[in-house]
Amino acid sequence: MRLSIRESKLSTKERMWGRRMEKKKIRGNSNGALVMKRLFKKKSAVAGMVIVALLILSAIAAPLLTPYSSTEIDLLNAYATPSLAHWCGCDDLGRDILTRLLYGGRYSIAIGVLSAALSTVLGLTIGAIAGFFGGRTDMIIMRIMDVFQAIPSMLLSILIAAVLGSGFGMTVLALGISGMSGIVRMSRASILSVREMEYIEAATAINCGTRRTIIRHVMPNAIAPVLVNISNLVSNGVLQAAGLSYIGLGVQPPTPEWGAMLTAGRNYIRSYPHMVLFPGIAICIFILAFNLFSDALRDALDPKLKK
Amino acid sequence: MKRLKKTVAMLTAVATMSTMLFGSGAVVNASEEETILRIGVDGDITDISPYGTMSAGRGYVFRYIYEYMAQRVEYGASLDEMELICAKSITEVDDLTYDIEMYDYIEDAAGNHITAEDYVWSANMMKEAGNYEKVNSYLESVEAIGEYEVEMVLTEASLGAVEYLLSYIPVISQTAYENSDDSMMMNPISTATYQVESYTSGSSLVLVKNENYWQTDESLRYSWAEQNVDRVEFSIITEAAQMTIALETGTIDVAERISSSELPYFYNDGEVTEGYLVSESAASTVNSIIFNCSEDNPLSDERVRQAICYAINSDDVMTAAVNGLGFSLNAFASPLASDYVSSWDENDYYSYNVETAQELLEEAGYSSGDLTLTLMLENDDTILKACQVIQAELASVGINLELLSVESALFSSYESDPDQWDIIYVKAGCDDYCSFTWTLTFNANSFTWDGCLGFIVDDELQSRYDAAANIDTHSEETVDAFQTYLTDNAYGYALFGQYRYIVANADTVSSLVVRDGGELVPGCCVMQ
Amino acid sequence: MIKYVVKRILLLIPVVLCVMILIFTIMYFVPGDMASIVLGNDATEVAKEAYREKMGLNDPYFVRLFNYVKDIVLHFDFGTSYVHGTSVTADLMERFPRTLIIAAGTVLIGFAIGIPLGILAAVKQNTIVDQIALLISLIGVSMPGFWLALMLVIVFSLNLGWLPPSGIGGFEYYILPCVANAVAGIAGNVRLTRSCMLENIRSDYVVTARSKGLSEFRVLVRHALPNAAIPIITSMGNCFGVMLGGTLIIENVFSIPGIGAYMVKAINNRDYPAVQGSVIFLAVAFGIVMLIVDLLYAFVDPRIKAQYEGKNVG
Repeated sequence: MRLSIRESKLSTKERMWGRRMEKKKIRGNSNGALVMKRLFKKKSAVAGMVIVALLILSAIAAPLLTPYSSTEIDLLNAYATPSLAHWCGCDDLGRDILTRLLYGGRYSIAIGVLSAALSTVLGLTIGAIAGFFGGRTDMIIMRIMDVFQAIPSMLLSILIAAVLGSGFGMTVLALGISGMSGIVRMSRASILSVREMEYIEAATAINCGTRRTIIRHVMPNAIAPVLVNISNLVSNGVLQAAGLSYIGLGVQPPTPEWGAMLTAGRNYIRSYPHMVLFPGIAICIFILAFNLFSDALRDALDPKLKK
Repeated sequence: MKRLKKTVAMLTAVATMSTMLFGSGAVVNASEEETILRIGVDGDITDISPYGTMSAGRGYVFRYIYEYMAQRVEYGASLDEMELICAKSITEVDDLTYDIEMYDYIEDAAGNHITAEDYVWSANMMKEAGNYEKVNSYLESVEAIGEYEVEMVLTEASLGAVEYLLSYIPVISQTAYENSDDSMMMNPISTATYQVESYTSGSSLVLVKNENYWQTDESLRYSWAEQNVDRVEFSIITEAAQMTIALETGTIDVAERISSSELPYFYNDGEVTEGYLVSESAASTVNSIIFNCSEDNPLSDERVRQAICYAINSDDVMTAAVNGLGFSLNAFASPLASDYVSSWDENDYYSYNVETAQELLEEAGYSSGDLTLTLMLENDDTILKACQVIQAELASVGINLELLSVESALFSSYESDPDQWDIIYVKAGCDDYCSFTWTLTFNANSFTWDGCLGFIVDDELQSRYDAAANIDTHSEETVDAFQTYLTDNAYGYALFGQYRYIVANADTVSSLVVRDGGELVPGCCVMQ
Repeated sequence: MIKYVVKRILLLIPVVLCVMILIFTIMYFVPGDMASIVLGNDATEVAKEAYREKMGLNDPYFVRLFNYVKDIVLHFDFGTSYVHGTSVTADLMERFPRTLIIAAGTVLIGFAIGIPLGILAAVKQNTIVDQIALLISLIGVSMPGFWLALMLVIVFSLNLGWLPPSGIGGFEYYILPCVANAVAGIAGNVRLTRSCMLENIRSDYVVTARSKGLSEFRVLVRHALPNAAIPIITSMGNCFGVMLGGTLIIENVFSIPGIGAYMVKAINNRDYPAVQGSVIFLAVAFGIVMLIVDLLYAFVDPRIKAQYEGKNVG
């Protein structure tokens, strides 16, 4: 908290130095640089980032990493269990599961990240406006959000998917819109409790501009609980895409999306567990790595943890 | 094709032994307690009202909720071979007119006496509801000509028409129907051996024995009118793995359908797992694809259609889709149909040949990668696998096939839209005659849009169909003529037929009775 | 405060109306001809046209919307299911308790495991205990619900024979669905509790309480926990609401006839009245839950309470 007050002092100083100087100073002391510095000190964050990066890279480089095609059917190898030729075995149509997992990363990771990004951009903006201004603005925004949020997210994504039809872009859109209202509510809730804090009063007292107060003082303090939610959104995106596949509204076959692979393999869970095990592990690893990274990011962003 | 017609009930040695060991004790208990048969079904039992729309789940139960004038015990049974239920006798006046004499002591479970007037009313209700296209197209009128005698007049002398009507128009009391608050949606009252006790849509249906069954003379009862169990409980279990587990844990006694992927738990390489009964029967459905032949579609070119047929290895499709638990087809018809022509088995039915396929495509002016087609299918695990194989096989001749997998509701809506699909995956049922499969797919008169399912406008095809389906002209030659013409023009391509499996827990069920077509007859099953 | 409560209740009404309009509009644009969907292509064109006329499908959008909303508001009538022909209201009322049980069970199990783990992780921050707690919860969230559900069935129904695999009946039928549904939520609860506790453990009043010589347990329970409770309660309410609509996959896997399974079937059948009815019904239930959460929220955080009371006075 001491640091926040120091920041406020800094802004007074900056105002005296004039506009150009101000910009320079902000960049020098910006949260972003500090966060990155602290983030790279944390082993779990680095590990998470490395794994996510590796998964993304291997998805992009899939054709170089595997001799098989993700769609070619080889019935002689149907249900083949893991071997040297097929490290993760083959599925019910004899397609190499590892190959499909590599290619599948292109779809699954993109669905998770893109839909979470869409929700976050929409949600944070709307939530911050509502929480900070309060009063009528807050009321109107929250009532609109209530309409959206009154429809639980899975239902909303299913409804949107049913209207739009299945496919990759539609799935991202459906998940992105349905995840938004949770972020709005969460960021607004934390902003509500933050805005009564002394440092905000201090910032307002010294005539700090509204937009500036939100971006420089309210957001960093309110963002920690929201970030936890964002990492949930990415994992939810991947898992809900699997759910949509289960209902029959996900991507179209033979797209090797991880959730679709799980859905297709669910009937073989007892006889050929490798068909479900490996897509499950792929999803697990991705979400685990992503969450390690985002947890570390949360710690790094939390101003109270600054040493 | 009798070999496919057999219904094999297999009893393991252990199951027999357990009957011997525990049999006597169980019988004593059974006489005191009410016997319950719990059945798992894989499809939603949608509408159980007398004139409701047909669905997979309704197909399992409607014959035990309602009674009909007569029924066909075997596929393709003609009028003389039918078993009479409510009808005492049926007389053919001419090709189009039939006199039906009913029993004069029919009463429903609520004690309503049923007369000819009730049947006339029921037939009109069925027509009015309009849910059965065949009823509307076959039935001209039903009129009462006596207190217990009606005259049924047909519109056309189609093959199997009178048999269809007799076994699809339910015998219902008008009074009972009008007394029902919800048009018998939840609590139908009928003359059948079992009556609905409770129905939770999407979940369960409970039938109880009708203690006042009207046909007191047991010698006159039809073969499925037995009442061996007191209660029949249907549970809807859509998840295939859950069906297996429910059977293994004893939550249900019989699974109406075990998917091919789950079957190895009960039946493997001809061996039945200890403690289970397995019934295997060939299904009459023809798994097939039909081409969109509307004018501006590339598939209106016969050579492209033939190329696709040659490019598909239907054995591979069958192996992948149903794990090899099926049989290949050499004609667009089910071998179970009574008028199936046995020489079709020797047909060269577009045997897998990539070179021919490529030559035909070249001839039609398409080189590799030129063609991108959409295959529409109903969302279902088996169909999805079949279509992915087709997709891969067409890719090898340079045709890009995109799959459009939609829910059943959207599927039936898109069927009529030539812009939605190029190829459609159809499971066409047969019931009795080859023409029944064809009327669902190639008879322009049974479609509300121009042409048939594949938007085919071909007078020759239609006239050959009419000849094969008319009761007077129906013969091996006319049936063969249609099939040959269909095959030569490659309007559609039959992929494979499949088996259906019903599995029961041998600890609780000692014998299964399955009717032609592979549906369980619950009342006839014997419990331990 | 009473004024606030009344205001919130009144505000729920437009929300519900907007939800009705939104859902009706979404479903209006769903592709497909209703008559051929319901009657199938086996039905005659005359029957289809009669059906459209009977169900009012030929009326313009606004007329249909108005009639629909009117029936719900005045008669609590969600219409007739196209596929089953039954009253949607009756169907929903019959199914709602089951969905409610699963949602409540899921949230309770999720928080009963999540909160203690979260507190433990916060107190032992950066130790092995913290990491294990996080890892356990993370593995939970990484598993798709239907996969976990099937695994649980195999272990507890098939191998151990302790619990029924599917269907409805007594209390024991709900254990597996609730657990399978809850596991994914635990990680969120752990992390939320942990991060909220961490913020409070470091705050001035906790330091003061400690310096007064209060025991660590007392500091946690009396000072840190109540303040960390605000986001947790918000999240619990949120979870409960989400769960009301998040039980649908679990209901399908376990063949439980709740609103979720009803809705999935209705979507597959394009049974508009049933879909609209389910969603609106859940939205109303959710609105009531969120109202209660907001009131509790205002009640727990004295700062927010003061804010509202200050406004009402002013």
